[in-house]
Amino acid sequence: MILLIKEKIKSFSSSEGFRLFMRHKRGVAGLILLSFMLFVALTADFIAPKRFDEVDPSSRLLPPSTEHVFGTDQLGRDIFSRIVYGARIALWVGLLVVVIEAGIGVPLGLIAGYYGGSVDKFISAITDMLWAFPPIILALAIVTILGPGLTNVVIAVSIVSWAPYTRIVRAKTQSIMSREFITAARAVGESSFSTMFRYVLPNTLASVIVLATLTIPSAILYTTALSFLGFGAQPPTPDWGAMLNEGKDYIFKAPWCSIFPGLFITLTALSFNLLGDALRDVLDPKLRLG
Amino acid sequence: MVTELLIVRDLKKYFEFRKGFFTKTQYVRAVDGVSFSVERGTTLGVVGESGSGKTTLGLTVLRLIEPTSGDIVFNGSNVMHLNRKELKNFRRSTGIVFQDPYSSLNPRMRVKEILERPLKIHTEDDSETRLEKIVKTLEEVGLSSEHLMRYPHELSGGQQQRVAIARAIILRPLLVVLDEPTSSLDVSVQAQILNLLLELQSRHELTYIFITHDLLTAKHVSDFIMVMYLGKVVEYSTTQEVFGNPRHPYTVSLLSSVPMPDPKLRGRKRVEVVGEPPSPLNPPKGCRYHPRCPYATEVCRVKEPELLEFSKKHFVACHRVGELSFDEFLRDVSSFLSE
Amino acid sequence: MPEVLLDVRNLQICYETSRGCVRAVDGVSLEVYRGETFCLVGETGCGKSTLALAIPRLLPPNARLLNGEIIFKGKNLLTASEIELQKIRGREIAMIFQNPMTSLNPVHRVGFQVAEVPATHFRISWREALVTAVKQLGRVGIPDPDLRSRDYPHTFSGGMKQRSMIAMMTICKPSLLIADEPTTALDVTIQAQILKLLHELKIEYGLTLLLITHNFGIVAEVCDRVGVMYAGKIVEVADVREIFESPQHPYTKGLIECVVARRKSKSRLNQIPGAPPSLLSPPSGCRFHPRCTYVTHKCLSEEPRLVGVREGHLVACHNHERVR
Repeated sequence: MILLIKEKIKSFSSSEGFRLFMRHKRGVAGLILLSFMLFVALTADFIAPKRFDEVDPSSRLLPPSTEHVFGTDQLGRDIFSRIVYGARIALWVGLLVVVIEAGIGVPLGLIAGYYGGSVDKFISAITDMLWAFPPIILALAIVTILGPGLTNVVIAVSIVSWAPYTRIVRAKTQSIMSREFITAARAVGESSFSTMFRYVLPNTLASVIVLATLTIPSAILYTTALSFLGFGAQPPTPDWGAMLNEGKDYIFKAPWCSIFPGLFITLTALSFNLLGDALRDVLDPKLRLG
Repeated sequence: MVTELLIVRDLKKYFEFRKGFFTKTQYVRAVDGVSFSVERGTTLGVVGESGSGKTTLGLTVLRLIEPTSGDIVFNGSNVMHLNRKELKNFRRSTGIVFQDPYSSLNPRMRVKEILERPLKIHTEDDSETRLEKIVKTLEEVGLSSEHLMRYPHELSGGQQQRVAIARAIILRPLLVVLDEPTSSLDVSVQAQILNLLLELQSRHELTYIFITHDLLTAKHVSDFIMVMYLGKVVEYSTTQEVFGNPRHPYTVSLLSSVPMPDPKLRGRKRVEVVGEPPSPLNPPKGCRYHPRCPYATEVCRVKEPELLEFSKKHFVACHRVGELSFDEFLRDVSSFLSE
Repeated sequence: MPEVLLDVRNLQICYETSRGCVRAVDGVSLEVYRGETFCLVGETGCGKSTLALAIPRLLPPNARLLNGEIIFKGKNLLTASEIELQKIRGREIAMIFQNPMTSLNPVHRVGFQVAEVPATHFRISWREALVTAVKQLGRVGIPDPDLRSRDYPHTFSGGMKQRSMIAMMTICKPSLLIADEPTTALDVTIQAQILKLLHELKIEYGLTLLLITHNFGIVAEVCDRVGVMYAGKIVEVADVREIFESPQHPYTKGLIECVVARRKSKSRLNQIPGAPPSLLSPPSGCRFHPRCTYVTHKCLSEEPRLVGVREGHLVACHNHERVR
């Protein structure tokens, strides 16, 4: 098993795609940044000096120091620790968003593009309708019914935002369907299901990956905005957006309460953007070159 | 009767073409009533230009495009209405090779996987047996196990086409449809592939439907030739007859137009072809070839000619078939083609 | 002595790629005589298109000229300024490409595109240019030229588009017309019409035609002299009949024998084993040696030079005498 992975990595790292990617300086920067965030998220328990919900009224709103690297917030909690645990949340949000949006959008796009006709019309209509639905209202509705919480808000937003995935997969599928290897697959006896998932889907993955890396930052920003408005993460969850919300009241007295969460939100979104740019440049021309 | 692997009767494929919401649906009559048969172990060459319907015919016969109407009898059974299992068996006994080798291979699949799929779908072989069969087939088409893990873009055009051929024959089909299999290849590679196809045919008793616009290639590989124009068959006979004694003006004009690779034939007498092939949306009334035919008469403009047996096994669809003589155009060419 | 219209001397062009510089044309010398039809034959990657594009200097940006001259009417095109070249393109040297679908600008009417050429090169009014354009469209066989000149290219069939290209490229009666696979994308009957048209125009305007093709049928039908290219080099040049009847280079001989029509039906065609070499690291000595049946020791180390074996017949092969 290990050998198989080693071999895959070896063949991947010597592949042309990998070499092309490494040349893309901004992409590499994005990758490094993202890896850093991932590292922080994974090792939060070890890096954070304090618990994220450890309240200490005697240390309220302290500026950054050796003890509190990023300072403390209005309840005396260590901001650095909260940032570090917040990374987990941010990445968790990104993952959940992609899973839901791609999970719904990609199969729908495949089916619409593969079958065409009235199936396509139906799916496209539903997609466009839901896309037009304002997510905030849906989030409000869900929060009213299910109660507030980051996960609920994320689900609410994702459930009506899968349209870009459907659209791009549908378009890609349509262009792939005109290629002869699809007819050849049918000639060999492949079922429709098999054709869609073995032949069409792998050829749409490049577009999906690029889309994912570019939508994650907007998802993060969107949910942090919702948290900022008070709908998402509830205290004491160290969601960066929630931290921004809490910090706004002390922006002049203790700006560090807002600066650090804002900075990390920006960096995370940026890292996904850079990575996505590079991936798009690498994956698309490669397809053309091939 | 038993020797005919494929019998096609009055096959039609019409494509719907709707211009606007309120206009009536128009039809592209891509294949408009084609009948023919193919004997086991032989090659039927289907010749025509763009718009003739030859590619649609190839795909429809294999039911990769659903026919609008007609009958297709393959190996004794009518394959027009098959249940899933029967269709699967039909797929197992047929294969197809396309013109553009790169486009016909999944860019995300390695050669091994491309060739393994048919085996996985149709046989119960275990992975070792499958691998054996794959390597054996690769060797038959002139490749080797070193190509197993390659992706299509890592192969040359000729190699890609060999993989496509391997995929088509790996299940030992009875019939293979080849749609311009050598047109996108270089001359020297074309020769290699044609040799390969002929060899495979004799070794495995394959029956070919060879679709091409290149008359000379068709002549080289075919036993019978069927000339198509705008969805209809205009001439159908043995290769010898079609090239030695063509009876339809269109066939003769094709022979006139094909550049012959011998400078001595340069000044030969040719049938002048005027105009462009008309749109298959709106074929001319009467004989579809009449606007471009130098021999057209009144009846040609009005009535569509039937495909009738002119002489033994030689079918022509032309009102004036007995009257016309094309000797002057064929004299020089015939000797060149029959040497 | 026929007049030399185009003189290519020791041309070397390579394309810069991520893997190095690919030597597409590697030391090619060629003479094209006034009034003849010269066919440049070869398979994919031999460099014939690069050579053709180099003449009017229409190579892509990653092409590097390493060496050589292209003398046209006494002027070296490779050192000419862009202004001088613009005067020559379309007026003295014209080029037709393979794919008529993409050679015409889809957003301009056909008449407009054809009229642009004389309007640019001659001191005439736009109205005169349009009249000339319509006339030329009629000359190349477009029915109702006045009406059709106002149409956009997408309403034209492939054959008509190619005719329009020909109109555009011959309207100024150039001295040299380069045609790169002009009929490959067309149907056989249309192909015959186009070749006939080119022939007529050649005679009427006194054109010199440089035709690039891989189809030996076309070579036999229209060419006076033939140049065979392989892996960036010219391996043989001869009169068309000589090329078919007594080719002196093993590659030429092999190619001609591959051609389908020249064999009995269903017989085994002669094939050239192997595949064309990589232009990044071509074989040592003669580039064809790995696939050659006449190969000797010398072929592996020494590159053969193009030498005359008969009147007007040049070959680059150490063993050409043995080629039968």
